[in-house]
Amino acid sequence: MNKADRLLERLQGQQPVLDGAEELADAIMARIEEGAVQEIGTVKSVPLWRALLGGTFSAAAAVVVGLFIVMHDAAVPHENQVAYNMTDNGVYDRIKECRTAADVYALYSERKKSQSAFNINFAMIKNMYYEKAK
Amino acid sequence: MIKVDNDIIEKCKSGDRSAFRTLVLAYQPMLYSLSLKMLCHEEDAKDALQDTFLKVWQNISSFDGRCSFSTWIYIIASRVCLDRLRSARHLLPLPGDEDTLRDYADDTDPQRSLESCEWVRIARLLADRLSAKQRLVFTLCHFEGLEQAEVVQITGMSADKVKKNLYVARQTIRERLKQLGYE
Repeated sequence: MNKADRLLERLQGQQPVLDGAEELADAIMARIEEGAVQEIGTVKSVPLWRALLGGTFSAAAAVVVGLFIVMHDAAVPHENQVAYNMTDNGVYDRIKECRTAADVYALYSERKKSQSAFNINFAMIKNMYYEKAK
Repeated sequence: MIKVDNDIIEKCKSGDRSAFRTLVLAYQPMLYSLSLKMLCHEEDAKDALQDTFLKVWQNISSFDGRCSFSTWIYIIASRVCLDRLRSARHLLPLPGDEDTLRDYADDTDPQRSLESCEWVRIARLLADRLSAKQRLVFTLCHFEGLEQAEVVQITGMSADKVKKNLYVARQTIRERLKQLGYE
């Protein structure tokens, strides 16, 4: 066994001498007796100004969130409006006005044409590119 | 290991302060030893001791006997010490610490007991490079001589972690002693 191990072995189980054990016990009992037992490790009471400040900020945040929701809600179109837009600016109204099959076909062709204006594929882009290059 | 009658514990649970004083006197040396070796400061150790006993008084009704009372009280004391270590500034060893260790090592009297101030210097020197958990495990296992199973209960670590922390702490302290000329 080397010196280090011998030293560690000697230190094993050794207890320091506590001076004034009675006084220390009295001090502990005094703290208990006084009822001045502080809440060690528990939540401390919050000062009033801090609580008020916290409350104010919470209320302000709630108002801001509420306003955002209301404004956002107004920006969303009404359900009927969405349905109207989906029917290509009231195509059904125009169908009602059609008397013959030819009228319906003409309406269909017109609608198809207007839709195809927004349908763009790769070949069209390529053609547009080469036309520009010329 | 200190053992106190269940009657005293039951009396403490019912709010008997004189019974609690008996308890304080019985467990004071054991907990002071742990606090002093962990915190390496006499006044801090005494403050930690007071905090520990106040917590014991506040929570004694929750002691259900699932572990021994010594283990339960050690759990509270070790948590108090770890909390204090986290918030305290790191204590560096002082030049006189080596002299104290040398005096003790050179003393041929095997019965020689160490004073608190001597323990502070030696623990400060040896535990300087240990983490808080390594320090706790080493103090409980080595200095206090507790069984590993009990240390597992006290620290809440797994048995493997206790073994690992103890191994690392021993190696670090041996290395430290080697640097100081103890080979």
